[in-house]
Order: sequence, then structure tokens, then C-alpha cells
Amino acid sequence: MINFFETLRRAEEGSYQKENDFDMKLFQTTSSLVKELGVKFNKEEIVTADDQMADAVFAGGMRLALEMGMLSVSTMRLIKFDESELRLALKIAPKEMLLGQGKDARSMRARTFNNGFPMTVCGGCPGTPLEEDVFLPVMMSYAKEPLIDIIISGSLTRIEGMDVRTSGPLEIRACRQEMLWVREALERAGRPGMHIYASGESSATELGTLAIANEHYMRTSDSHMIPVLSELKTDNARLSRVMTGYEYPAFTTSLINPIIGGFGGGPAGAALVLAAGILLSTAAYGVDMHCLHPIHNKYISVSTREAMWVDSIVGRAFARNAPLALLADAWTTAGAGTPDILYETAALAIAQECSALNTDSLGATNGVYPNCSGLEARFFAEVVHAVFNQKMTPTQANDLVLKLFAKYQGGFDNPNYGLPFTEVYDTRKIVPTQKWLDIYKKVKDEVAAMGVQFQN
Amino acid sequence: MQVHKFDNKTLQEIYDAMVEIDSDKAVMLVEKALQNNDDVLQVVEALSKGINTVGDKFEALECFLPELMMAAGIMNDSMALLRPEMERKDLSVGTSGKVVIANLQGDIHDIGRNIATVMLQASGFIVYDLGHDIKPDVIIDKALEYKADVIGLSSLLTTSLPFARDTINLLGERGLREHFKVVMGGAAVTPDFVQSIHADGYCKDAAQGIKVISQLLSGK
Repeated sequence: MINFFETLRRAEEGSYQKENDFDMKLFQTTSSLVKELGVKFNKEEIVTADDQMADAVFAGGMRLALEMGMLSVSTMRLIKFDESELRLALKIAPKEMLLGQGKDARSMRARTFNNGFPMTVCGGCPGTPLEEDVFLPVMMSYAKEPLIDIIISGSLTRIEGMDVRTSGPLEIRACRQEMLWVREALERAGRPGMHIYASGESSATELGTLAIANEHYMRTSDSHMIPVLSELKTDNARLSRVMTGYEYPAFTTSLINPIIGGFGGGPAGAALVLAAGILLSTAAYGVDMHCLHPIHNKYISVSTREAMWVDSIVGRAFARNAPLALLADAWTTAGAGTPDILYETAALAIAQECSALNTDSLGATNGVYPNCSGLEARFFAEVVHAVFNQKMTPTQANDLVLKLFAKYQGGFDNPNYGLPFTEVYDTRKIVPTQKWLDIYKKVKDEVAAMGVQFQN
Repeated sequence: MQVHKFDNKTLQEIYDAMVEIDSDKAVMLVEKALQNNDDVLQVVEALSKGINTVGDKFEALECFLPELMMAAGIMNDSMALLRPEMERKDLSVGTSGKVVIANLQGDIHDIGRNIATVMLQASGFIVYDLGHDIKPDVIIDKALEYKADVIGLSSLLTTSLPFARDTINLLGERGLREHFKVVMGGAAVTPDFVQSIHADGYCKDAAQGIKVISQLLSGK
């Protein structure tokens, strides 16, 4: 961050712009840049090795960020930065940070290609609605997976039978209880110092972040999330979250989710919007990390060809031009207990590892149903480590991802949502059921036969 | 994607202008059709088929949200030109129904609702878009004011879903439940939830929303 008070000043004193005009200008500017720079989505190259196009995406993202700035929809004022400010923000952004405490701390890196480190694997179920009775066992299923480096929580949807509502008092209670249970899960797994990523998942507002800014809940070694509103917008609620992290201070991460087919246009435009969002949130929010989540206009999953390509080209763009700690969401259409989720998991793990990204974990069924478990997170991590150790190239990765995509693409229109946690895990022992393990083993053998060299 | 062909050259040009999202040309052609005393209802049909093709292209990622919104603008501008002539000739194209649409209280996400609004307009519905973060009583008051047939509720946030239940309950408490069909869509919404609150329909996406609402209004 250059100076957060300067961000706040610009949010109040910047040029006035109507939201509709901002949206249309974004579309025109992005379309023009896509054409001028020759950025094109190739559906046969989901994991890209195209350095020239990656550089064009970075250049286009920079020009888009400079032209548009970030619109505060609370004040309808533009928060604009000049190029020297954006470059300075990139320079001072952390390139490596130790997340968590003691022996459980793990490095989160601004990844580059072939620097000798695999991604940092986040495990958990972001966005997933969880009831009180399953919250702790679900989180324990992730905490028990040794290959998971950091953890992210699901969302607690009810307290004592009452719905948790946006901006309501129970958001405070839900976020605090969420943190207590995640920390208990970590302690029971013997990993009390593990970093909790995007703490306060049970709240959509600044209330949750404020409620947990206390060592009893979110430690300064944990992080919380500050979304960029689509596209390239913010508001006082988001800026209040920044203020909380600024003074507390915990680690912070952005969340940027350009709509593929939205105001940025198609995949090429969405890539530029994503790159611009990373640049602007680095300068305006001063976040330590970024969560990438391009959204297909019809299918929310990140496992579509278009969304995986957007992540891949943006990962490559930043790895080559301005490495930052980027974590890509890995939201799947399918749910736990199905082969489909494991095919999607494998494709996303391969694509992200070979695009210099870290992961912000799986969101099974796009975070709609509580059909998630630690086993698919284990599989994600195993694929990441295998791909890293065998030094898989982007071209090899792309061939594999295309094969995997063919196996699960039918699920976009006819999703196999699978089963809830309580039906795929023994909830007393917190271990997968034999049936779910058998499916996992079968798919793992299949993926191994495709060329992924697992360690065990 | 269905591409339409017309025997009449002007109608074909109007359809093509809509599909190409050429606003100036489309409006100029509609004015020309009026001057030539062309069949007004056929002009409306050419425009409607054109905007439906744009909707199909959007679904296929061949055009994007701003273009979909521009197509809706062409439709509105053209109808403003055609309406006086239709009234003079006592013609009616009818509508598919009136829909009040809103994002639930606490939810500030606009884009999905924007898509649904334009797609519904393209299918002949009159849509009153109330915006985001709208309280249940305001939604109901507006539905009454606009004499809506359908209330469309959208949410991307799980924590805003309880306000959908509130809306249904409040409709019941005010003795208005039978006045409106209530449908829901958005990333956080599931068919099970819609059923649990006794809403009338679940819409996976905008295209399905059109089908669901049409079926509800036709009583199928």
C-alpha cells in the first residue's frame, strides 16, 4: 500500500463518475486493449506457455488500471493511481511471508517459474454453508491432512437455530465461533499454529472482520479477505475491512472475481480486468496476497476452460513481470463422494501449479452445498506435489488438463453434487468412508495412468 | 443458436441491426418502416427475434453483458417510436407478464440481476429492477405498486437468503401470497432452499428463469 489515508482521501475527493458510465468505459477500454494487444483465448491451451501473450496481459492490465482506477460506489469517486504509484506498490508488496506460528508456519511466496518451490496449498471449504453440528468435524477433516499448508473455513449459517444474516448481530457471533472451532480443529490435529486464511468467512460485511480482530479469535499470524467489487469497484464496507487490518494488523488478501462475459468482455478481457484488479488492490488496499476467482457467465466453477485459462495467463503474466503472492480459487461443480470432483480437482491442481499460482482451496459444488471433505483437498495437494516433483511443463500440463476436462465437462449442465460430509466421512473418527476412499483410489490410479507420478 | 430469416428486406435489416447491436441503424430502420407504413407488429417481431438471438449469443460467450444491455436499449428506443402508432391503430403485442426483481437485503451484487433483467425484457416481460440490498417490505410494496405478476429474488450471499424467507412470510402476513409468484436465483440459492420457504420456482440461470416464469404464469 502506498498510503491508505491517501486511498481514503481519493475515495472522497477523486473525480465523480456515474456507475453506468464507469461500466461502459471499462467495456470500451478493455475491448480496445484486447484488440490492440492481440490477447486471445485459445480453448485448446488452457494451461498457457505463451510468454508474449502473458506479457501483453500484464501490460494491458497496467493500462486498464491506469485508465480506470477503482470506483468507490459509496461516494461515486474514482480512486486513481499513476504508474509510478502502481509500480511502487508492486515493489513493496511482500514476495515471501511466513504465515502461521511456530513449527506450523509455512512460507507463502510470490511464485516464479522454476524457483525450486511448489505452491502453498490452502485446504478448506470457502463459501460452503455449514451447520453448527458439523462445523468442527468438517474443519478437522482438513486440519488432519498433512499436505495442507494453511486452512480456510466454511461459513457458519445458523447459531442456536437462528439464521446468520448479512449485517445482523449474529454475523459477529458466527465469525467468532468459526474462529474458535477452526482453532480447536487445528489444536486437535496437533497443528495449532497453522495459518487461517481469509478469517471470518461467516460474514459478508466488515462486522465479521471487526468482531474477530482479537488474538482470542484471529491472530496477527492469520489473514482476512477484502474483496474488490466487480468490476474494479470498492465501497466503504470494503475500505473498513482494510482499515481493520491496517491497524490490527493481520495479513490481508484481496478477492478479485471478474465475470467472463460481463463488463470486461470474454476471457481475454476478463484476464485484463483480473490483472488490473490485482494492481489496483495492491495499491489501494495494500494486501499481502490476492485471491483470483474468474467467474464464467453461465457456470460459476473455476474448472471451465475459460476460467482456468484466465487464471493461467494471469499467473504467468505476474510471475514474469511482477511476482506477487497469488492464490487461485479452485471451485468445482461436483461435490464430495463423486469421481467428478476428483477429475476437476486434478485439472485445477495441475493448471494452477504449472501457472505459478498458489491455491485458495476447493469450493465443492461452488460453495452451495455442504458436500465437501478433507479427502479431495488431500488429492489436490498430492497432485500438486507430483506435478512439481516431475517438473511437468505447461505443455504437458495442458495435455493432461484437456483429458481431465473431457471427463467432467458434462457435469456443468448436469452436476453431480455428491453427498454431504456426514455421508462421506466417519464423523466420530474423522476419516473417509471406505466407499469414498475407494472412489479416490480408483481416480488416483486413473490420473496416475494419465502421467501424474504420485509419490505414494 | 437460432438465426432468423425474413422475406421482407426491411424486417431482415431490422433484425440484423439488432443482432449486430447497431443502435443508430436499428432506430433509423424502425423510423423508415413507420414512414413506409410497414406492419408494426411484424417490426416488433423482428426486434424481438433479434434480441433473443443476442441473448443466445451471450449464453455462448459470443457477446457480452454490455452488448446485451445495449440490445435492450435498442428495444426500448424502438418501442418508444412504435408505441404511438400501435396505440393509434389500437394494436397490442401483449406482454409475457410483469416482474419485479431485486437483490435481497444485504446483497450488493448487481451483475447476475442485470443479466436476468435484460434476458427477461428480451423475452417480452416488463421488468421493474429495484436494485440491490432491498428490504422485504419494499419489494412487496413495489410489487403492489407496479401490479407485478412475479417477484424475482436474487442472492449471491448465503447470509442474505433468510430475507427471502422473510419476504414470503410477510406476503402471507399481509394476505398477499396469492397475488404473486415468487421465484429465486443466484449463486447461493438451491432448489431445496426454494422449496423449504415455499417459493414458487428456482432459476438456475437467466435462461431457465424465463422458462420457469413463463410456465408459472401459464399455469403449467
